[in-house]
Parts: sequence; C-alpha cells; structure tokens
Amino acid sequence: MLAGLTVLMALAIITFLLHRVIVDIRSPWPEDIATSGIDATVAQDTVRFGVISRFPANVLYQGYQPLMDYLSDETEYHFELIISRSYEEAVAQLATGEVHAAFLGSYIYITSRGDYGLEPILKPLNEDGQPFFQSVIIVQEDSDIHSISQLSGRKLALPSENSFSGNWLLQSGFSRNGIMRGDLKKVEHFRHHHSVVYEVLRGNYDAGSVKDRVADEFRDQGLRIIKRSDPVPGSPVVVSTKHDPSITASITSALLNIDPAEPKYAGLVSQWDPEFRNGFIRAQSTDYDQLAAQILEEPPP
Amino acid sequence: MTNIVDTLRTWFRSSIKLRVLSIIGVVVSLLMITISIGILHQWRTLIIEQETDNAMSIATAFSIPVIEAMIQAEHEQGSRDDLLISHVHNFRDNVEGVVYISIQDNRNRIIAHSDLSQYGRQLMDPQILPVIRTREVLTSISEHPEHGWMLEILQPLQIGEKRWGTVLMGFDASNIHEKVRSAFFQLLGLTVIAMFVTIGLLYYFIGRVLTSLKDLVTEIDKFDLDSSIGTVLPARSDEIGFLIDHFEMMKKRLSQSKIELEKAQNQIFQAEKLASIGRLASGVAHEVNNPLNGMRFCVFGIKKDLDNREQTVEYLNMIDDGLTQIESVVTKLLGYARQRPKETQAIDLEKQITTVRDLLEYRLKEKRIRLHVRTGKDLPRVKADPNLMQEILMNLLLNSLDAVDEEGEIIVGMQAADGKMIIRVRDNGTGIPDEELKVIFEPFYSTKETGKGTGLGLSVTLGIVESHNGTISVTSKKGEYTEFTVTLPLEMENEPDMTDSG
Repeated sequence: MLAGLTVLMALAIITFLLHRVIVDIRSPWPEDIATSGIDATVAQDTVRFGVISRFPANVLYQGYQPLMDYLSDETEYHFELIISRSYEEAVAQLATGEVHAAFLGSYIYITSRGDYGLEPILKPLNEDGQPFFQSVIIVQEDSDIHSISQLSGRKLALPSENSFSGNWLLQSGFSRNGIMRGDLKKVEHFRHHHSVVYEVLRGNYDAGSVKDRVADEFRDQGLRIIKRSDPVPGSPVVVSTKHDPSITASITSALLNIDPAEPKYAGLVSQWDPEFRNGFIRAQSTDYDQLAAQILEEPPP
Repeated sequence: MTNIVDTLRTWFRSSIKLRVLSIIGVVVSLLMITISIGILHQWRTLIIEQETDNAMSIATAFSIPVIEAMIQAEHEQGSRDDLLISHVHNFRDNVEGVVYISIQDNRNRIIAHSDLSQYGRQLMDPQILPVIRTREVLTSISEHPEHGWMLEILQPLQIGEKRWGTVLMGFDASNIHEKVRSAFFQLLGLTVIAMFVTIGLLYYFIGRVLTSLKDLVTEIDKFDLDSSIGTVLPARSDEIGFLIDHFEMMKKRLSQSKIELEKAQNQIFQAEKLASIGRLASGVAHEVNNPLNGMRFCVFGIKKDLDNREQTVEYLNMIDDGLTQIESVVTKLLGYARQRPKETQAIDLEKQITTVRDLLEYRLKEKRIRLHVRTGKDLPRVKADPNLMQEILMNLLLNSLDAVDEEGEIIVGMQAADGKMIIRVRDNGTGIPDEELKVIFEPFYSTKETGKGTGLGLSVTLGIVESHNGTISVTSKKGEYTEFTVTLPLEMENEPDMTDSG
C-alpha cells in the first residue's frame, strides 16, 4: 500500500514538473542575429546612384536596392539609391554631381545628353541576350481592340513624356497606322509605367503603352498586347562628364561580371528588377544615335 | 526509504504475475510516457510555430504599407508620422490579438505607437535594444506582469540594405499558453487511459495464462501414479497445451518407472529373504536332524525286534511325531520363503513375531539368547502385508542376533500410541558407532565379513517400512545397546500397492 502510494506520488510529481516545463512557452529574443550594416558605412565612401521615376518608389526600392547592395558588396564603396521625383530631376542630379551615376531611360538620355554631357556606360540585356527592349501597347484581355488603327476614338494612357514608351506611338506609331493623335478621344501621361497598367486594368483607359518589362510583370492578369515597337537600345546606366573614373570602373566591372547562367548569380539577380536579371553590356553613345535620329527628327504631331 | 525498497522488493518477488505485470507495465508506461512527451513536444512546437507564423504574417502585412508610407514620405518630403499613427491605430483596432504596435526610426525614436504617450520617446527596452538592428524578423514570447503572456515580433523596415526603422508588435499569447496547456491535459488523459487499458489487458491475459498454469499445477498435485485416468484439462494448441501434453507423457514414464521399481524392489526383498533363510539353514538342519536321528533309532529298534508288536507301535508313533515335527519346520520355512502376491490385510503383529521367533529358535538357543516379546494389552491390528511384516521383524532380529554375544538379550516391544503402532527391537549387543548410524540404511552397507551378509537387510527394511508410510529410526550406544524403532500408521489412508511380480 505504502509502495503504491509512493509510486503514485512520484508519478504525480513527475507530471507536475512536466506540466511546468511544457506550458512554459517563454522564448527569449535570439542572441545570435544577423544585423543590418547601415551604421558601419563610412560617409565619404558613399556613392549615390540615381534612378528616374519610371516606377513607384517602393517598386524601385524592391528591384534596385538589391543591385545597390551587390555593388556595395563587390566594390570598396557603399552605394545609396537616390530615387528622383521625375525624369528631369535624375538628369539634374547627374549634371550637378549629386549622384555619380543613374539609371536613365533611353529617351531622356538621348534628349539630355547633348545638354549635360552624359555618357552611357552600360545597358541591360534582354532575355535573348540582346541589349534592347520594346515598348508595347496593352489593352484589357477581352477588349475589342486588336490593332493600333482601332485606337481611334479611344482613350490612351501613356507613361512620362520623357520616356520612349510615352512617345513612340505619338511620334511614329500612329502615323505608320494611319491615325493622328487628334483621332483619339483622350491621351494622358502618367508618372509611372505601373500607373498606365492600373488605368487600363481599371478600364479608365482603353489602351496604354509601357515597357515590355512592365507588361511581362502583369502577364496573365487580364492584359493583352496588341503591338510591339521596334527594338530600342536598352535603358542606359549613365554618368556625367564629371564622374570619377575609378568609381565608374568599379561599377562597370562589377555589373559586367554578372553572368546569370552561373548558379552563384542566379539567386542574386532573382532579387533584382526584371530588366537587369540578364546582365549588362558596355554601352557607347553611338549605340543610341540611330534612335536619337528617329526621335529628334520626328517631333510629336 | 529502506523499508519502502524492501516492501517493493518483497511485493515484487511475491508473485510472477506481479513481476510480469510490473516489468511490462513499467516498460510500456515508460514507452508511452516517452512517446507522449515526444508528441506533446511536437504539438507544443507546432502550436507555437503556427501562432508565431500568424503573428509574423500580420506584422509583415502591417509593415508593407508602413515601408511604402515611409518611402513616399521620403520621396515627397512630406510628413509621414500622422499617416503612420493612423495606420497603427486602425490596425490595432481591427486586428484581433494585437496588444500594441510601435514603429521606430533608425535612431530608435518612436515615430508611431498605439499608446500616443509613447510618441517621440526613445526606445529603451534593455531586452529589445540588443536585437533592434536585426535584418530578420525576430520573435519572443514572455510573460509580462501587465499584459500576461505576450508574443512580440520585431520586424525590420528594410529593403536590401536600405532601412527605415523597425516595427515592434505585441500579440496576446494567452491563447498559445492555453492551447499548450489544453494539449498537455488531453495527452495526459489519453496516456493515462492508454496505460490503464494496456495494463488491464496485460492483467487479463497474464491472469489467463497463470490460471491455465495453476490448473496444470492442480492437476500435478492430484497426480497419482496408481491412477490411469488422464488429465482433465482441456486440450490446447498453445504453450500451455504443450506443457499439458508433456505432463501426460511424464506421467506415463513415471508410472512405467514405478512398475519397474516395484519389480526391482520385490526382487531385492525376495533375495534378502532368501539370504535370511540361508542364515537360518543351520537351525533348520538341526531341527530336521534331531527328529531324523530319533526316527533312525526307532527304525533300528523295529528292525531288531520285528515281532515286538508293542514296541513297534510305540516306535512308529515316535516316527510319526518326528515326521510331524519335520513337517512343521519345513512348513514354517516354506511359509516364510514363499513368494506371495502383495496382500494388505488387518494383521496381528504378535502372530508375526511368533512365526519369526519359531524360525529363529535354534539360533537363539544356540547362543543362549533370551528373547522377550512385550506387547501392550489389546494390541490393535495393523493394515499391512503379513509377509513384509515378517521380513521386517526377521531382518531386525537377525541383526540383533549377530550383534549380541552369547547369553545376550533381545527385547521386542509393541505398543499403540497416537494412532501409530510402535515396534521396538532392542538388544544389548556391541552397539553401533555414531559415524555408522548415518549409513546403516544405505544399500550394501555391511560390517560383516564378505559372504556373511548382503548389506541389504536394513535397506530393504527401510523400503518396506516406507512403502507402508511408516518410519524407522535407530539409537545405539557402543558396547551397551542398539534399538530400532519402527512406526506404522494404524489407519493408512493410502495403502501401498506393492504389486508382486511373483
């Protein structure tokens, strides 16, 4: 009897202790953590890198900040992304030296290079490994619009007037298809390519013109492409004439090293904006001459 | 403590059933407890992980617009704090379980808080400050004196290396605590039930096995070599059935061995009887020879005077007496020597001792030994085989005859007491040394010269006494006396069945 009671007592004590241990769900903050390196950066090593406001700021941070982090890791400099409020501001930042380099659009580069002495150093490759992009005309999937000529009497959304996508239809696309800007019911420019997509999806506008990279982002989300532009030299990474050659060399070297076919880069570039996931190639001013001739000789109607 | 251990040890050793039950019970219980603890640990981990993941999802969902608001404010160089404070309050009011939300900038200054009084203060929590620069989402569960159990999420407001600050969110974790507690008691209940069921089943099945074994033991207890009735236990195809089968086979072998043993015993008894007859031979010869001498004298007298009719009649009567005397001697001898089937009957031991005394008369007279037979009044009869009783008495008296010197004394006493017949044979012979007292009943033990004894007399006597469920003992003092005491039960319930081979 006594032995039985002793065993029961022992079991009760074990159960009580087990209960204490199991229901104690305390877990302290971890001690070994990966910390942010923001405070470790020395101010004078910071290289400011501009970008035109082609996308909303959060989209730019998501796609461009990892590229800045890559440059910081691969070079002796700390790179800081400076998002401009407009295309012109990015050019002005380059001209004043506020930023060392900037991601510009092909159109703004061509229209500004003569005035501010800008030099393209790199341009991104597309999925085919070619340094070109295209602008596309998008409509809702169930839209009755299937060609540019059907845009007559419709509302058209365009990105910045300083972008190629915001101009190519007006400059050559319409004329090649026999319509004039005035034939359209409404044409309006928006700050970002994404805004154009949203306006078309919401049905506020019948069609829109955006970069192929943006249209691809919304693939299978109710959009249909009815027309592609001729291939255009990729949006360049540009420096001003006042640039520090050693910094430019570091940027060029680091970005030309990217080979997405290599597994070690595949994970890295998957975090980058889709426009840069296929790597870069050196850019020359002359690469854009043909496009410049086309743009500058064909003012919008 | 020692007492408890001793009690447990005694309890443990008191029964196979308890031993098996306790060992298997302890092993099974430990196994179940271990498995239960493992499952409980898994449950606990899953519950905490699930709740933590939920909280992290909520914190992430909260942080995305916060980052965008901060980017927007940075980009537009506008005010962000009002927007953030509004976002914090809306979120806390609409999302269940959120206790507090705090947003800090990169200098740990609180720029929005669900408690407006915290706005603009510096985050000083000594537990959070060491981890505030994390680039990953961190979690912690603790028990707050004010809020009770709380799950806290520290979410960096960061894209790549671009960082705007951190969000600290506190969630009510009492539901986690309650779920874990509930899981503990559910599993405890299930474990206890499972243990009781398992031990109950063990108890039942071990009990069944042991009951079968007990039945077998009962059958073994009832086992009677003289009975030819088979085991009444039902036939089984398991291990118990195997034991029963082998028990039956062993029973048959024992019965066969018993029959063979009895044959051998009877042969020994008979051989010893014949040996004792040999020892009586001189006396028999003398008792036959004396009448023969008288008869020869009578024949000589008749031949010498054939015409003396009166003398011839007298001598013929004398010859007839002599023949009667020889016939009597031979009859006694044959009666003793003859092999009879075993026959248990109520016998008068005084008659048996008289028969033996007659056969030994010459030997007694030869050594001028006095034999006194002392019996109590109304001596009861004993259920026994008369021939075997004679053999006991003959062996003991021959032993005494060999032990006493001339003019010695042998006393045979018989009395009934306490339901037993006690026969004592005492002589004043040479006695037996103490060291030999232990071995005199062993077969082939003899102090006589080779050829003068078989060494089986006392061994056979012991066998006969034991076959009648009796005992035999001896006391002696060297140079003074030896006394054998035979005790036989007056009422023998289990009568010996000494199957006589002759």
